[in-house]
Amino acid sequence: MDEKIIEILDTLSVEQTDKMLQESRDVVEMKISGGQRRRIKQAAYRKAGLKNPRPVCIPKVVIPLAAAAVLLASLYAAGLDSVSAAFSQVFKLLPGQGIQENEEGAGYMLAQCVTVENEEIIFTLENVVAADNGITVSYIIEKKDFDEQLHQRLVEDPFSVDQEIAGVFEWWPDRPETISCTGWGIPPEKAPSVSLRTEGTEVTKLAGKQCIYGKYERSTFRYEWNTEEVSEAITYTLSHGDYNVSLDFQMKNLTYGALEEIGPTGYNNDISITAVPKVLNNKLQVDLYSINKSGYKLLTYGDVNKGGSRGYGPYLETNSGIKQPYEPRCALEQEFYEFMVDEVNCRFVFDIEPTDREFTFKIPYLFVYSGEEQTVFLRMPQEGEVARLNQRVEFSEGPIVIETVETAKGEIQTEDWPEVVLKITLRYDNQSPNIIMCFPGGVIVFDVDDTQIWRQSNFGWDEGGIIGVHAFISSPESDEVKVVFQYPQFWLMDEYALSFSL
Amino acid sequence: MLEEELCELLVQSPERGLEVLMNRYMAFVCAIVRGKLSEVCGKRDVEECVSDVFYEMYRMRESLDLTKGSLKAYLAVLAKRRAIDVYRKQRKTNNVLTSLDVRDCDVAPSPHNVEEAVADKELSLLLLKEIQELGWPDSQIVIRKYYFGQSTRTIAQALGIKENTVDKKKSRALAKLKQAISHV
Repeated sequence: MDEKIIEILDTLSVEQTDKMLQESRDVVEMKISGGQRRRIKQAAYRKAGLKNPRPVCIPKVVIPLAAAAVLLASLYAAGLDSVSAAFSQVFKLLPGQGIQENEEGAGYMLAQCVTVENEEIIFTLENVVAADNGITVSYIIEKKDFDEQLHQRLVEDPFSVDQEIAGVFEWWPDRPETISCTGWGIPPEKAPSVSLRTEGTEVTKLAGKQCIYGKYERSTFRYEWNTEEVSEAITYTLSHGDYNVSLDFQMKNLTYGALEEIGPTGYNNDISITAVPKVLNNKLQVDLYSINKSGYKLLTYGDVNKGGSRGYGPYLETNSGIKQPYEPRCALEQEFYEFMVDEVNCRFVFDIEPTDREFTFKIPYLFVYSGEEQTVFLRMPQEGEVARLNQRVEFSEGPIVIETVETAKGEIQTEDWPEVVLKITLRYDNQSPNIIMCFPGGVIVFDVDDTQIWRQSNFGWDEGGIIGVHAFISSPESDEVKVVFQYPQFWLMDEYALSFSL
Repeated sequence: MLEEELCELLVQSPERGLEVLMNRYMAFVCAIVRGKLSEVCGKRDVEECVSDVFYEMYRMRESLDLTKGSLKAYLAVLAKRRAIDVYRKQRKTNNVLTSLDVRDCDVAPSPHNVEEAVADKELSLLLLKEIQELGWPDSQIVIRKYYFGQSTRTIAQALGIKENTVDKKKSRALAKLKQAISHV
């Protein structure tokens, strides 16, 4: 009999298989390691004649000896077998934007930060990226003659400054520009007179954005430029007409053969995180770049100011002790930097001591979610009864268990709309201490009679996940309720320790 | 990404489409292939078979018809058939004894006549209906045991029930199914 059933199930058509899989309401998957995943992918690409993964490209990048030693030590500590197993071997770093993997086309970045100054300003070219037929230039201006007191008043009490300026109350008086940010598309009257030239030819400007915070101004401009014309041999000139200052710079190829050549990199759960550290204005700035092959969507690095925080987040270990990043995390001086950092490609800034040389940037956990969705159908018990189900709803990293279901009379009891309150209690049955699931409110949806329940409330929390739901149902005609669990969120508790020396 | 979008991606940008498809369904395909091959093949053979399944899916990318079934169902059928192929080849070379859980069967059923094809289809539909009517967790036990080839221990762990309960429920479910399909 076993054989007969196996034979029938083995020879189901696509349609029949679909029906069976839908009705099973259960996810059956096998745990596979990063190494297995990589081998299977490589074999499939090879058979299909596709070019992923590409052959190794040896970049012209010199790693300082000290950094190489740290890199080797971290590789050894992490275990060579697990390191970069799921990742490719050609990467392109787009500073401030991300790391691209196996992307076609050349890419170039600023070879070296350049700073010039005159009587009025210090002009620092911070970042240039040439890729995707465009070039993005970012610079910082520090004004030497700046009214700090006025700025401080604008920060603390802008309305008193407004009154002084306007004399009377006015909605939008013409405030001094010491705090402002634009999106892409600076109004022409406010656009700084910045030009980019190469070999005597001015390049067409496409768009720009600017942020002013106190004596600092940071601007980013995109230029129309065929990146095939970019070369390491050419000198480019950026000029700021408003301050009559200009600087020359050169570019370098930004293709790398391994993530570790970009910066110290950690790998957990098929998510790589690469740190690019640099010291700027006596502060250590660590930009994080991730490549995510986990199937999860990365929400935060555990920033204490974001949802999903467990009350602690990334920190820095140095010779002189542990350092916490500036508040808010991922931002320096709030408005000034916040606009330029992405939620995921994030920037952390720390105060460091002049004697600090060795650093380890630690990320204790990541907060992610998956696109999974599971539907279950529950029978509503008679009023006053408690049905103890212990029904498991399977997700890739473990089940959520519906422990009990009960119904009670709701507050609204009119003749036409007798309200029933359905109460369910939940338990998280995490399979691994390093992957903790939670359902925040709003991702559990109830349907009765094909109508979504319009009111529900949650009660009880277990490490950020709700453990109970009240659904308020008006005059149900059916005793079956459809419950949809969507987008489970997870804390991935494997720590990233990114070591480097400066 | 919806399945329709993934199909479109497979056609328009095969490299990316295949990447997304494998990221999403590799663990599922592995579960089916391993269930069939764990007794006769090593890990590398299972990996090879799984990559074949995705390659086959890639080859079929322009003829996928989502009105017939989901991408997951297509992959499941391909995985089953490919794994049975590999199993049969291995069995010939390794001379492995047939266990109760595995047996010779045609990769794609090739009924001798139309009547037989209709009868096969009726039998499949009847079995699916009967499995569905077993209710949870019995239906899940049958599917996990006979479709995914999971062991009693794995099923017990996955469903959170005791191993002997799984065995008892499986025996009872089998008796019901036997009675239902014996008339066909």
